[in-house]
Amino acid sequence: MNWHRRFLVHGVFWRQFLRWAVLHVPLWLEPIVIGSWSLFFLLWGPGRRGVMRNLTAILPGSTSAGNFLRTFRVFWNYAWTITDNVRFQEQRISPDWDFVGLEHFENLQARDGGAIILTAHMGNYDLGAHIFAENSHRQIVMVRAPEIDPQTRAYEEAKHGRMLEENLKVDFSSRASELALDLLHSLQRGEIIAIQGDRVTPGISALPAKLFGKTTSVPAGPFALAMAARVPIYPIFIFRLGRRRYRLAAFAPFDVLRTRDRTEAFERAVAQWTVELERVLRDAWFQWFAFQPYSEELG
Amino acid sequence: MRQTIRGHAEARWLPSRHRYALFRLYAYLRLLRARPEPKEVALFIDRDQSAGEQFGVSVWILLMVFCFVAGELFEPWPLPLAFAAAVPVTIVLIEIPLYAVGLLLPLVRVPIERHVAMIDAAYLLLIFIGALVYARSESWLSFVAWQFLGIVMLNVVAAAIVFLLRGSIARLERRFASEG
Repeated sequence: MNWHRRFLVHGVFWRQFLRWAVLHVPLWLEPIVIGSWSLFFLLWGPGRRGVMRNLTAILPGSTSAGNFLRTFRVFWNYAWTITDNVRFQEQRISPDWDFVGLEHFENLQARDGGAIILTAHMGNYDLGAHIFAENSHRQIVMVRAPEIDPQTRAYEEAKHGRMLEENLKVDFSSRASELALDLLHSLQRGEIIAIQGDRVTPGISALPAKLFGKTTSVPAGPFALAMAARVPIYPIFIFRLGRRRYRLAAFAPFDVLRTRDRTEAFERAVAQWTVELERVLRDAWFQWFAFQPYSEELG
Repeated sequence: MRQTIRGHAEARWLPSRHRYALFRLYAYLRLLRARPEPKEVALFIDRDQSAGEQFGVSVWILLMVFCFVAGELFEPWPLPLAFAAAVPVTIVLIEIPLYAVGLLLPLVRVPIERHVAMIDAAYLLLIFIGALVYARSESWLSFVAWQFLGIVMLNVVAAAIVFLLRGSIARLERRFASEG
């Protein structure tokens, strides 16, 4: 393996550096360090362009110059969320939380059967799952996309192995067919599955969707699982409100009803999901961590 | 022991969520006058939890280093030009002690749990020395230096007041702890 791979944007160096920073940066210096590194990462062309293209769809009429500045805000928020996540893992320091739609969240905790939490790459997905697990008696399975870089993957998997709560398990969506069966069994045992529903990774089956008027695709897994296991889908999002402040917003659950026409059932469920996703992204575009254009029309 | 307070938004003013004596004292006074704010919140107790405090100190120190850089490194330049040039230099310069001291500490076998405190102390020492040097100069930087020394003195006075109020603060904290 080439030695310089670890310094590429997905390389393991940056994960190790982040951990080092969390364990060394005085707290008052944190905004300055995060600000300067967010500025540095604007040099990452593909990521910067991906965010800027997505912003043209989310905010119609926005200018390139404006979106360049907005991209800095996305990178700034991303840097804070991954820092908060590592700080929680290393030092068990939690941010403050507030809750919107608490009744849906409590309903999810109280129900007997399994359920699916559908969320997006925004706010602090990892931290949300840890906090949920810490405060819940329910078994949770968090499905993650695997890291592209093998060294980074090994680093993250080792870290997850060390840090997990008893009732939180992480599974990687790379082994799609076996995982689908495992997840189905988990749901049938009454467990909760948390999946991100805004991005399709290679090798994962997808369903067509429309987001902000552009064609895209969303992972088919959560919808197929909900239909097969007859469990509801809870759209839940974690927003970063400020330094060490997050909001957990839970929306009303929906079902993927079994009908004779599976395609139509999936279309209806995907439309329900994308309506919530659009609503959330329109207000919180600055923390949608999608660094690639979400639609080929934007590429 | 770390703890989370639930359902009381006014607990954001708990002194134990602040690090520096001035902020702890201010938080205590705010909390004394705060009305109950029942909300769906979970507030974590950590002395570095206050965003206002940490951002405030961050901006304060950044501006001070910025002034020292503009006034010293770019002294011969017209002031507006010196200020413009000082922006990128300050951003780079202010991080150098972090990496220098941070990389040195493992070599002298300081336990990793103490690294943040050691680096923090190194920064404080550097700024304090800088302030002492510039306090005696005749340039405008002496104002920058004196305001730093003044605020440090104020913090010392606040620390003494917080010490005298420790019983009352502890009672207030316990009240929230029992409810949280």
